[in-house]
Amino acid sequence: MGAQSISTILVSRILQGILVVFVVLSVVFLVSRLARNPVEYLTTDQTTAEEKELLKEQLGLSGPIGIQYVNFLVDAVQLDLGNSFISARPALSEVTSRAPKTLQLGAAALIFSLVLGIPLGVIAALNRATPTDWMARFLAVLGQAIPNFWLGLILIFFFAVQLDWMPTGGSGGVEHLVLPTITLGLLASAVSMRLTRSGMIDVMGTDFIRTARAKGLRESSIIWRHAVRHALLPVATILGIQVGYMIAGTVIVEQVFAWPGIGRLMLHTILVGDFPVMIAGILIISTSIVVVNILVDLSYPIIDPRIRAGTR
Amino acid sequence: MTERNYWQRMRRSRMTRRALLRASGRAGVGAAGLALVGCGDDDDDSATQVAQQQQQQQQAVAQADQDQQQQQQAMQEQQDQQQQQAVAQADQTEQQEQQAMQQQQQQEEPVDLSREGDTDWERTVTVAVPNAVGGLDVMGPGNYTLKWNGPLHFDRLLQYDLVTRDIVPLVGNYEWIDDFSAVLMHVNPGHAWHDGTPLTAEDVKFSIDRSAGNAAYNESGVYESGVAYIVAQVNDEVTVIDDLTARIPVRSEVTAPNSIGTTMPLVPKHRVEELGDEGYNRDGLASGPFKLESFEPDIAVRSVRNDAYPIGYEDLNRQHRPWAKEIIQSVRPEPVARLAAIQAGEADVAPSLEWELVQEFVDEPGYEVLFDPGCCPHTIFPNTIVPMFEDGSNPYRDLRVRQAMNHAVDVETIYTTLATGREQRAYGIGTRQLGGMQPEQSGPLTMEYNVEKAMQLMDAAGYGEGFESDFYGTAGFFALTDVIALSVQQYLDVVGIRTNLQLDPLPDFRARMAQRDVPGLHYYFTNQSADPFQVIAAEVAIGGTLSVAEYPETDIQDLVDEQATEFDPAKRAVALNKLAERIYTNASWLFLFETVGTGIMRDDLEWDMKGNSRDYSGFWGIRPLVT
Repeated sequence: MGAQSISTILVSRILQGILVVFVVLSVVFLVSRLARNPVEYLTTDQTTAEEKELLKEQLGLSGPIGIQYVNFLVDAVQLDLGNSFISARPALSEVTSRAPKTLQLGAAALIFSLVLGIPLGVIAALNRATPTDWMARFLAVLGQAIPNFWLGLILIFFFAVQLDWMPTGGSGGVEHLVLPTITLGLLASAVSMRLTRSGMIDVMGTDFIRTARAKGLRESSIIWRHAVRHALLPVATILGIQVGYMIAGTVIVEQVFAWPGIGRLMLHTILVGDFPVMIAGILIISTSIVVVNILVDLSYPIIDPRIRAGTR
Repeated sequence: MTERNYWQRMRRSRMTRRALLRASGRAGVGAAGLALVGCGDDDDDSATQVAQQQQQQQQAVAQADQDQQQQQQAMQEQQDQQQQQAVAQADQTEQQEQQAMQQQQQQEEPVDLSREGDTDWERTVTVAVPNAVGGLDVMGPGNYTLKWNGPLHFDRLLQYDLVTRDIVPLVGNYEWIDDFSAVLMHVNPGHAWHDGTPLTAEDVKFSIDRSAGNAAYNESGVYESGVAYIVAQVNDEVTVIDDLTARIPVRSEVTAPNSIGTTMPLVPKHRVEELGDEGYNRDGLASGPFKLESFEPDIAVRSVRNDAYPIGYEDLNRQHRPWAKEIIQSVRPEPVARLAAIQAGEADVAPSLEWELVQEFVDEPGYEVLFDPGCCPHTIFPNTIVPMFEDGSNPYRDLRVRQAMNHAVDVETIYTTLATGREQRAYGIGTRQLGGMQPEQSGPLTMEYNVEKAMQLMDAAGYGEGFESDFYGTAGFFALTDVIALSVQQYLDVVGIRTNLQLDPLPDFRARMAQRDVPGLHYYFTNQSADPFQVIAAEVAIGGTLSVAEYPETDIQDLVDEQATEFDPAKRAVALNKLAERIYTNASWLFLFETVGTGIMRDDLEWDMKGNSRDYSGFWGIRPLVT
């Protein structure tokens, strides 16, 4: 197989991404139409069947589902996803207005996970089979095992109620970001730590590290300039998945900490059947994940020169 | 220093009129005596004459003295009498004066219902709420049910007295006219929108027209509200008689003022016309006890006291001017996080928290656990409309099966085990104040837990071997409904009613129930409003939106019609009572219990809703106390 240019890879990935988003939206549209009747949520016990039918028509929910689907696709291409059934505001702007909060939380959690996970993984690898390694691995397992819903509540109880160091929830200053960041980032940091550790153990036994030592390079230079860089490749690979997890994880974390982001909006719209906002949210989320994965693909050559050599 | 103390001190320092008159009377008697002692004649002629004269004079003097003494005595008596009369009159006058003063004080200083000294008028109260999303147009589909907005900021024409459940004025009052074919709604002068614009009959007409989708004011000329059903009883065009009077022609329904007056939110014509529907949804304006200060979706809602709200503290049984200066509804979706917010001092009230979360705070200093009165009777409706089995039969059509069902379930054990234990058995549709059965009435009728009797009834109905039935419930609408449904399922199973339980989210459950053609049991609830007219129309009347348990062979529909057309409140209460009793004796439903909602509040607040639920619609009743 010949070497591919960066632009070819980029175009290929973008086309794949568009296909992924299209499939996701189609599935969500069909499943939501079949599973939920938002008219019931928007009406009361006294609302008559005629009034419900009228409302259904007004919301564009009457008529054959095939026609509804075609209309939806035509509108979606123009980024017109309709208005929220609840607030009557444009669905896309409902979601985008929440996006900064989710980005803020997601970025903080990602940084937290990397800042905690990578050094811990390196330290564990360099102290293999020592109490330091065991402790680091124990923490990693713990981080992966604790459900973030439960962890969030425990953090609230301890740091907000008992110690009164942090607010119990809401958004505002940096202090509001601390507990949700830890809750969301802990699992990701555990994954990063384990991958970094195993990558480091592999790399530290390779020939080029021995060569570097033979050349008399300082150990810290060998570790942080040569070994870690190679060990991070699997971490970079998993980053795309981590971002997806973080966005999905915000649904729970934002709910626990009353963080007004996309996650909470999504949960609410799913519960009440606010289709336009739900689909707009999924469009934004799936597009974000696709974009991040494309960026991760494009970052491989930068991280690993061997991959760079395979591309033109 | 209170006004009453000031007046009391003033009264003590004043010389009373009675004391003044006594003093002046004594002074007058003394002055008269002194004048008499100083009287006499000094003339002297001859000795005899002088002697005679002296004798005569002496006699005369003696006579004069006697006369004078008599005169003095008479005067003294008269003066004493006058003085006594004057003193008596003074006493009477003083008493009258004191009474008048007391009356005046009472008039000038009525009982301080606002308890000014106890109330912290500057306090902001933070309420932890589960969500705050949606738009500000209270009439928009979905918005009417948003608790954070509607009841707090928007007024209705009428309201229910918290104690008597009578319909009493809010924005206005009403009177029947034209042989009960129309209602005159009178708007109280002085009621204004939060921007200061007076609320008029034009606004009443506009609100009704807009609810019904008839108000042509926006570009498309069409507005589909989510509350059209409220004004379904309006029969013709609403006309404005004058600035403060609107005539509303209605169908001959006694409940028209209830449904239109107490449930339709009023919206300002000038603002909606100015901004259009979308604009108004973003920038709502209301006239209620709180003014919306800011709205950050899913973060917080700030509302400040409407100091110009015309209903003051003169009647605490009605919605009135709030005590708290500001209410912040701070969003905390998770119940545990709401509780944590209270514990951390970030919130003062969390009105709706499950019993299992708040029960440990019952004796905790600094907190008050809120127990709502029984509400929303949990009720299981058997579908009697459609056949259940292929042979066309439906066991629930048999009174004995329905009675067996009620005898089979140990209601008290369920609520004492699973809920707060403060619940009461449910007896049907009516609140006790409005025709519902009184304890002495319902007691002898109660279908007590009796498995043996239930099985005998099943046998007598020909279902000794039992039967299978679907059983639909909701999950998450009320607390514990899933567990209660499971326990009911097990109780029914003992007497042979083997159910397949399916729990769904409320919208899905209600959609199924509204189809009215799904056989089996449907676990829902009945009345939660002051007047049960809505639940009667929806769940009891034949053809109601959720009526699945219909009994056309009984007199229930006649009783439904009777209460709906009886205009005399006392007679209507009697009609409602008859209906409630009939529904129970017919074992129309499986009657469970009235659920008791719980919440938690800091103990430096007071929230007395006179035995009614303390929820979002009653934030005006939260009184911050001076600590």
